[in-house]
Amino acid sequence: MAAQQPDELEALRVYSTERPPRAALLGQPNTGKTTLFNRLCGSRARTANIPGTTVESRVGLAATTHGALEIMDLPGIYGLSLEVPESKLCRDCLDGRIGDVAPDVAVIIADATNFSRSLRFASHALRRKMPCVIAITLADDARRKGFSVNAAALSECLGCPVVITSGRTGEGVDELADAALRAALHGISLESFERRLNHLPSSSVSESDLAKWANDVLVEVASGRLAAASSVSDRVDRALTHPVSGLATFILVMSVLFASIFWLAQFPMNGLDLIFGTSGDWLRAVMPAGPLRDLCVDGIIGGVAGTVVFLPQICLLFFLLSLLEDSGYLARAAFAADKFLRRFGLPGQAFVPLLSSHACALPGIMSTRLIPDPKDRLATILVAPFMSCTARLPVYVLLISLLFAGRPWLAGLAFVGCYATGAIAGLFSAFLVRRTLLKGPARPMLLEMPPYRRPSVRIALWVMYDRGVLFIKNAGSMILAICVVMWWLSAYPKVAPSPELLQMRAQTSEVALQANANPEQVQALESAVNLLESREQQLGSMAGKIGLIAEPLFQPLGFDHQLTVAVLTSFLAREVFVSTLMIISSTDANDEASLLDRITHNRRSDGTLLFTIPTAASLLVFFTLAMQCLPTLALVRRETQSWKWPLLQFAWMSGLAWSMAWIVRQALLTGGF
Amino acid sequence: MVVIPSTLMGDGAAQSKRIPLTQLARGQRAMIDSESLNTLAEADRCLLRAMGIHESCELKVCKAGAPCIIEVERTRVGLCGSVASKVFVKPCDGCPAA
Ligand SMILES: Nc1nc2c(ncn2[C@@H]2O[C@H](COP(=O)(O)OP(=O)(O)OP(=O)(O)O)[C@@H](O)[C@H]2O)c(=O)[nH]1
Ligand SMILES: [Mg+2]
Repeated sequence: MAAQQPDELEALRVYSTERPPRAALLGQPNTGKTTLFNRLCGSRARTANIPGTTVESRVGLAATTHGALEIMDLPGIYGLSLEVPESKLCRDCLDGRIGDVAPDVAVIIADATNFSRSLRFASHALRRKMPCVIAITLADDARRKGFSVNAAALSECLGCPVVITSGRTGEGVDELADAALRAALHGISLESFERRLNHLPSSSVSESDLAKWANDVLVEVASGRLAAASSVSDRVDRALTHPVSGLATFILVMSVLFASIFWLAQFPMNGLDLIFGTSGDWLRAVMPAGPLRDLCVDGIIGGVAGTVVFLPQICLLFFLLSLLEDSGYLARAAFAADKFLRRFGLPGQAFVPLLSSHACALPGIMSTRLIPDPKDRLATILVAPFMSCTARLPVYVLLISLLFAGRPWLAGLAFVGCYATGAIAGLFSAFLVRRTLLKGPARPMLLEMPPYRRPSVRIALWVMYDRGVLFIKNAGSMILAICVVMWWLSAYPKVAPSPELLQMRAQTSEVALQANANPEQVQALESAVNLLESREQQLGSMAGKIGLIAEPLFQPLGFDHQLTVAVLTSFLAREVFVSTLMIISSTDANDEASLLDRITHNRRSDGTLLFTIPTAASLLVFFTLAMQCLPTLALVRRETQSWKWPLLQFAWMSGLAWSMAWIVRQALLTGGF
Repeated sequence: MVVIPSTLMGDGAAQSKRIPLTQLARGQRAMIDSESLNTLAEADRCLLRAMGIHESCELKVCKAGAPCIIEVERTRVGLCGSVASKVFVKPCDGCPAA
């Protein structure tokens, strides 16, 4: 292609609008689009959903010598004319049916290491009447393997500009941006489009003739040869699909993935806890007492802490997932899990999200972006919160030790039972939803196994950062708002201290003033007073009043007013439940007994035990299955872009939890417990 | 020089029996029977084609059975049992038998 004279370009730009021209990166999966995009745009990029869809794309600005160019990274597709949602989305995007404007130029990505297939893809894409530039990616990789493409010859063959690039080394990236901008500003005339069509095989050509055409082009423009696949890849694949070593690797990789978000993430989470705890204490010390201080310390700092506490798990998960995906293993793992999950209407790619949800549903739900099919993805999002997350763990510990005190074997079994119950309920729900609300032919697994490559830590760090920012931006504000509202509901209206409390307080200060006061005893008394105060506040607050209204709903499960309030406040986050139990069981707090003893012997005002065995069991079942987590609801709302799905999910999970808890309680009651 | 899939092997292969893809052994090479792709659902056939698995192309089995992994040119694709059992192939001569 003859280079444009700079002044000609200047002239063209005068006619262009103020917005920079937009280029769309169009190509098959795993051909280096995103890597190239990152090279082109650097940090001037943001990830967002394509307007009106739940599919995300990245949009960024690339600087060229002639001005800025907006670049959009589209999801990888095997063909533009396929009837799968991703292809439809790319078509709509190119036509300007979605997104604010149609792209001005298509940058068609051709993978140099799979060149013949890329040429076939390009031959379809070039049939669209729009300016096109072909970017040959992974050129460094191909060259290392002894294969290279002559850009000028290919440009001649296809009738459009060709640039050889590498996202890894940065080769040809600036040149590509220039070529794309030039093509965008130049537009396409009918005659140049017809000239381009003359270079391409006819649209009705059979697939084998198209393959022949691609091979002819390849012979003409390329030099060197690529072996069918590397023998290393062959050997690795043999090991990884072997029944024994394959399964062992799968278990090992997934265990490392799980351990890192379950265990490793604890350390940064504790660190964050410490930071927010200290800054809260500091603020409490410097601000004058009053509602403003409470709002700042308990409401806002507490809320921010409640939001960022999810970040370590999200960042770690996405960092590791990026490495796994880049290495090519993730597709193998999905392949291995597909046979099992398919029975429940879920794809193999749902394995990682469901596994991660055992640590926390939030990173789990965010990682469903790996699932290409929207229905599969939605089904996975809907059932992910059934998996027992770490926030349920303290509740399990508490209730199981209550139920099976002194019988460690049974307790262990009950633990496994809780996890199994959650997973089974999730898979069962997936089965149901795929046959009712999300009916439709399941997409059978036809999954490309990308070549094994050395993963890039740089990209993984970038993905991690990107996901973290995305979480804070998308879900963060809503979760923060929920935290503040929940705090407000449980802190207001302020309750006047009861005579009982006042008396206790007076006693405590009396004891403290005595000359021979035992500091431990004073401390115990003080904490007892504080607990009683929180309990009175909780029952008298808005949340307590709501609990009063909701009490009849939970009565069949054996929950009284206090327990109902505890269950309701646990919506904020399940781990709050244990501390709430501590608060509501504060009556005997001044003896030295442990929390467990206190709860076990906690009696209602009428003298009946608060926790009978059937009540504890029904509470356990309820917590295993219920969606007691508002941040998850907020995230599902964000990911599905509608209130319908989170509300449905909430209703289904709560309904199922209530029914199962009721059944368990009734069974135990009739069993004479 | 470049690799051209050895479609020329057709003569020898045409004489061998048609068997489902799932019955090939690992490492075995075979040619896809052009008619058998037509029994697949339209969407699956188009997707396979776009991935590079088309009528009368030569494949190599990387993982046998159902599901299986096959390699065509430089592309490896995992196929679930329900699709793989509908794809019929003619094993190429000189390959180890199943
Ligand atoms: N050696 C080399 N590797 C590359 C290059 N570009 C991308 N890769 C690697 O190729 C793999 C796929 O790259 P991506 O950029 O994620 O591909 P993509 O086209 O965005 O993939 P999808 O979004 O799944 O369609 C990654 O492992 C990259 O590290 C390159 O120029 N050279
Ligand atoms: Mg990408």
